[in-house]
Amino acid sequence: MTLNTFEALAMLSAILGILILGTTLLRSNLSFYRLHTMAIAAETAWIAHLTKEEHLYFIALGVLIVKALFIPTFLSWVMKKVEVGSDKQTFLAAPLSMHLGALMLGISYLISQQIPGLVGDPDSRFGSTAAMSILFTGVLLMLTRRAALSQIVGFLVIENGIYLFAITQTHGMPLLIEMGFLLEVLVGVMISGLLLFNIKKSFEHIDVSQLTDLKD
Amino acid sequence: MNSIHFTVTTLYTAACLVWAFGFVITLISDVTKIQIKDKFFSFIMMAGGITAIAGAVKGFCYKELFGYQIFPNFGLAPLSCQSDTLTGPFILLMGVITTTSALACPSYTSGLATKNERNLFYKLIFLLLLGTFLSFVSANAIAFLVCFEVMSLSTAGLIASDHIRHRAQRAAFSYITASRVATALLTAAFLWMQHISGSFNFDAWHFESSRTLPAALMIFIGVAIKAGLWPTHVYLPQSYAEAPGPATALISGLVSKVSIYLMLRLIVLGDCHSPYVIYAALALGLISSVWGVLFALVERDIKRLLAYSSVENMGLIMVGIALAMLSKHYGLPGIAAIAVTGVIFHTVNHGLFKSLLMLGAASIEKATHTRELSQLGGLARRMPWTMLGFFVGGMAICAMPPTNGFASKWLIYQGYFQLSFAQVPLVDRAIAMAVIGSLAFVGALSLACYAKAIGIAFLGRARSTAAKAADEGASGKLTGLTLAQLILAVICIILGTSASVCMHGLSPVLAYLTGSYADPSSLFPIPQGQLCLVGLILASSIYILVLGPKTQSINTYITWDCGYGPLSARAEETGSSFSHPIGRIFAQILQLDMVTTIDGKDRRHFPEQIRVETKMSPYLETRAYRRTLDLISWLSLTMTRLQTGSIHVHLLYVFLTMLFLVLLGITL
Amino acid sequence: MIAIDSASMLKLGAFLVSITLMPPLTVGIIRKVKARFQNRIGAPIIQPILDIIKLMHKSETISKHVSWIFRSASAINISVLILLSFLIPWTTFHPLNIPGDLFFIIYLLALSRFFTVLAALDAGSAFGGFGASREVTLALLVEPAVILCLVSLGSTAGTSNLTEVFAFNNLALKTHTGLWFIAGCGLFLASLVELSRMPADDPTTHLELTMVHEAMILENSATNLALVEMTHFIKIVLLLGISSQCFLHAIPYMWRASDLTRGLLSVAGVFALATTIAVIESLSVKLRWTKLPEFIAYAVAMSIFCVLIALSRNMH
Repeated sequence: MTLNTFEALAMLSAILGILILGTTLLRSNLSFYRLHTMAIAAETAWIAHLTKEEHLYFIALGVLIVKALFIPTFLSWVMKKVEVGSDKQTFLAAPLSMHLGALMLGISYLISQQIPGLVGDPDSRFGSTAAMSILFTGVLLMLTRRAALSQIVGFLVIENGIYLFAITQTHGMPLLIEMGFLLEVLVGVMISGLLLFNIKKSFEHIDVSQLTDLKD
Repeated sequence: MNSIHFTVTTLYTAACLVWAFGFVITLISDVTKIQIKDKFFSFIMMAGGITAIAGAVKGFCYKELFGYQIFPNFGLAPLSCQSDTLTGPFILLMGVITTTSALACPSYTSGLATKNERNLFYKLIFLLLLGTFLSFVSANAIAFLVCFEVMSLSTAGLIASDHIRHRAQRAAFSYITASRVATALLTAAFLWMQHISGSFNFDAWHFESSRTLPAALMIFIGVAIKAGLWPTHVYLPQSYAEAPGPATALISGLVSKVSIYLMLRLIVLGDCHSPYVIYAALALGLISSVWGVLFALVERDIKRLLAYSSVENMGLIMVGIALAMLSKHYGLPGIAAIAVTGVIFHTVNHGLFKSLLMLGAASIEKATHTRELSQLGGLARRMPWTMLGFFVGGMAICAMPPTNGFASKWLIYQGYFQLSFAQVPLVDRAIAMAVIGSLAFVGALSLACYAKAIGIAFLGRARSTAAKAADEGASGKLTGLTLAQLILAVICIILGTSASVCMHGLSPVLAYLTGSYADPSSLFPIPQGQLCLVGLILASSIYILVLGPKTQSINTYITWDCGYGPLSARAEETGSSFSHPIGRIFAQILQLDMVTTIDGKDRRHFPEQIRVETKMSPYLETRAYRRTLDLISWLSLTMTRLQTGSIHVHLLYVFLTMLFLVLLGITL
Repeated sequence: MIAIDSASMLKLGAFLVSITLMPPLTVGIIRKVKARFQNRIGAPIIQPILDIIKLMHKSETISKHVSWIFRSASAINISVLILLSFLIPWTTFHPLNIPGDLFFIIYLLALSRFFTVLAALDAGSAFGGFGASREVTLALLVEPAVILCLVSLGSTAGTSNLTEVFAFNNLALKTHTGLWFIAGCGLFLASLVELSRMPADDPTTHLELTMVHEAMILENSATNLALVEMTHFIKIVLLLGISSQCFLHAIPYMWRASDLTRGLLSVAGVFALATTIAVIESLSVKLRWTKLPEFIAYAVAMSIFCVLIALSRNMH
C-alpha cells in the first residue's frame, strides 16, 4: 500500500483522534486533540497544494489558529478555573473504548469501500475512511464520558470529522461558508465554557450523568 | 489379512486379554482369601500397556482400515473393531500413560487399608483401561457406546473410590450427570446417522450434506461436554480433584482424548463443512481456553488448578480442529495439514504432560497430605525428583521451547498465521488474527499460572509443618511414582527436541485426514534440536566457567529481611497474592471480591486486628447452573401437586392419557 | 550457513563486537543523557562495563533457602539471550542465516521470563514474590501487542521467518511505510514496559514497593548479579534494535542504501532510541500501578492498527 502524503496525513489524523479515547486525563485529551487538529490543518494545506485552490490555504490557517491553538488553550483555562483534572468515572473503561475506536477504523474502511468517491480521485476513499472513523471516535467520546469537558471535546472531534469529510469529497467549500463554520464552533465552545462555570458553581461538579432532572 | 494386520491384531487382542485377566484376578481375590501384591497388578497393567505400544508402533504407518470382530452381535451390531492410521497415535499415548501410571499405582494402593479397597481400585482401573482401549478401536456406534459407558462408569467409580469423604461422592455424582447428558446426545446423534446412512458403522457415515447437521451438532455438544469445554466444564475440577492420584493421571490423560478422537473420526474425517459446527467449535474452544486458564490462575488447590488447565488445553485442541475443518472447507491442503498435525500432536503431548503434572500432584499429596498451595512451599529440597518432573511438565504446558508443548502450539499458531494471508474471505482472516492474539494472551496467562504453581509449591520456605516434614520416600532413591514422572519428563523433552521427526512420523495420519500429501519437513523449519543443544552447551559452559569457580566462596545467609530480624514463612508471597493483580484486572469475570476489616482503638489510627478476606464466586455456577437447578427443583415441587394420593384421580389421569393417544392415532 | 569469505567474516566480526560492546554502551548512554538532563556530569559511558567487572570480583552471598533454580537461572537466561541475539534481526549485519521464526523468538523470551520469575520466588522473600507477580501481569498485557505487531508484518510478507521479513529485499513490504512506522511505535511502547523503564517502572528507585524488575533480582549478588545485569543489557539492545529496524524500514532511502550505510544506521538507530528513552525518563513520571494497563493499551491499539493495515492488503 503506497502511502502518499494525502493518505499519510489522513491516517495520522484518524489515529491521533483514536488516541484521544485512551486516557481520561483531560489535559492529555486536549494535547491529543491539538495534534489531531494540526494534522487536519496540514491535510487541508496539502489538498490546497494538490488542487491549487488558494482559498484552502486560508481555511487551513483558520483551522490552525482557531481550532488547534485557541480552543484548546481556552479549554485548558476553563479546566483550571473549574479545577477538574480528569474524568473520574466513565461508562466504558478508557483502554476498551480506544480498542473499540481502533476497530471502528477498520469498519469505516469497509463502509467507505461502498461509498462512491469523487470522480477521478481515488484518494478520496481514504479521506472518507479517516473522516468516518473520526466521526465514530467523537460519538464514542460523547457516549462514554461523563465530564462536561469531555462532551465538548467529543463535539469538537465530531466537527473535525464532518469538516474532513467535506474537504476530501468536495475539495473545499467557498471561503465564506468555511469561515462561518469556524466562527460557529468558536462561539459555541466559548458559550459552553462559560456555561461550565455556572454548572460548577451550582452543582459542585461537572458530571453530566447526574444532571438528568428536567425540573425541580 | 496380511502379516502386519495379523501382528497388530494379535498385539491389540493380547493387550485387552491381559487387562481382562487382571480384572478376573481381582474378582478371584475378592472371592477367595488370597492377597495379591500391588506389584503384580501394576505388572499386569504395564504388560498390557507395552503390548499396546508395540501394536501401535507396528500399525502406525499403515494407511488403510482393517477390522476384525471379537464377539458376535450385541443385539444391534457386533463388537467389531477397526484400526487405522488415526488410532495409532491415540493407542500409543494410551500405552505410554498406562505404563507410567502402572509404575505409580503401588505407591497409592500401599496406603489403602483393606484388601477390598485395593481390589476395588484395580478392578475399576482395569475396566477403565478396557473401556478406553475398545472405544478407540471400535468400528461401529453400538460398540463405541457400550465401551464409552464402561469407561465413564469406571471413571465415576474411581472418583468415588475414597467413599468415606462426602466431597468425593458429590464429585462422582456430578461426573455421572455430565456423562449421562453426553451419552444421551451421542446416542441421539448416532441413531440419526443410522437413519440417514442405514448402518451403524463409522466409516459409512458422511457429514457433507445438510441433513446431517443436527447429528453433527449433537455429536459436537456431546464431545464438548465430555472433553470439558466451556460452558460444560463445571464438573471437571471437582472430579479431577477427588480422584486418587494415579487414577487422575489416567483420567486426565486418556478419557478426554476419547472425545477428541470421536470428533476427529466422525466430523473431520467425515468432511463436515457446516459453518455452524466450525464456528461453534472455534468459539467454544477460544472461550474455554481463556476461561480455563483464568480460573486456574486463582485456584488454591493444586489438582483443581490442573483440571482448569485441562479445560484450557482442550479449548486449544478444539481451536485447532476448527482450523482443520475451515481449511478443508476452503480447499487449502497445506494449512489443513498443519492444523491436523498440530491437533494430533497437541493431543498426544497434552496427555503426556498432563499425566506428568497429575503424578506430581499425587506425589505432593502423598507426601504432605494436603493439596492446598498455601500449606506447601520449600518442597524443592525435600522432594527433588518430583520437583524436576513437575518443572518439566510446567515448562511443557506453558509451551517453552525445548519441550513438546512448544512444538504443538507452534503448529496451531502457524496454521492460523498462514490462514491470515491465504485467499479466504476477510472475516476469516480477521478471525485468524484475533485467534493469534488470544492464543498469545492465553500463553502468557498459563505462564503466570504455572510460575505460581511451581513457585509457591516448591520454592521458598515451607509454610506448614506438613510441608516441612515432606518426604518423597525411599530416602533419595527413586520410587515407582518418581520414576514414572521422570520417564514422562524425559519423553516430553525428547519429543520436543525431535519435533520435526515426530511430525514426519505423523504424516500418514494427516494424509489420511486431509486427503493431501503435504510435505512434512517444511512444517517445522526451526532446527529446534540443534538450537536447544547449542543453548544447553552455552548455559552449562557459562555455569561452569563463570559461576563454578565462585562456588567455593559462597556465603549462605538468610533471605534479606530489611533488618527486621528473621521473618517467618508467613511473610512469603502466597498463591492468592501472586494472582491478585491479574485477578483484579478480570474481577468482573472471576467475581473476585476483597473485603478488609480493621479493628482497634480508633479504628484507623491504632489497628489491633486486620482481617482481609478474598472471595471468588464462580460466575457460571452461581448465575447459570444454580438457577437452572433451582428452576428444576421448583418445577418438581409444583408437579407434586398433581400427586394427590387418591386412586380416583390417578385413574382419571390414566383414562385421559388413553383418550389423548386414541385421538392422536386417529388424526395422524 | 556460513560462507567463508571476507565480507561475511567482516560481518561476523562486526556482529560479535556489537553484541559485546553495545549493550553496556547503550545503558551508559541512557544514564549519561539522564544525568545531563539533571544538570550533572554523570558517570562515563563505559561505567556499566566497569560495574560488571567489579561485580565479577566480589564474593557471593546466597540465601540458604534457595534451590538449584536460583543459580542456573542466570546462566540459562544469558545463554537464551545470546541465542536470541543471533535470531532476532536487531541489526542489518547478521552473520549467520538461521531462520528466526517469530513464534520461537517470542517463546524464547517467555522462557527467560519464566526462569527469572522462578528465581525471584526461590529465595522466599516477599519482594521477589510481588516483583514476580507484577512481572507476569505486565507480560500478560504486553504479549498480545508484541505478537500482533510482528504477525501483521509477517502476514504482509507471507512468512513467519523474521530474518526474511526484516531483510531489505522483500518487495511486498517495501512500500508499507505506514505499517513499519506504526509497528515501530507499538514495539517501542511495548519495550518500555518489558524493559521496566518509565513510565512503567523506575529503574533507579530505591523503594521496593515501587519496583518491578529490581525487586526480582534483589537476592542476587556478585557473579550472579553480573550475569543478570548483562542479560538485561542485552535484552535492552535486542528490543530497541528491533524497534529501530522497524523505523528504519519506514524510510524509503534505506531500501536503496548500501550495506555499510545500513549497518551504521542500525547502530545509530539503537543509540537514538536509547536517547529517546532517556529523554522520556527525564520528562515523565512513573505511573501508579493501577494506571499501567491504560498505558499498555496504547501499545495494543498500535498493534490493532497494524493488524487492520495487514488485513486490508488484499482488498486493493
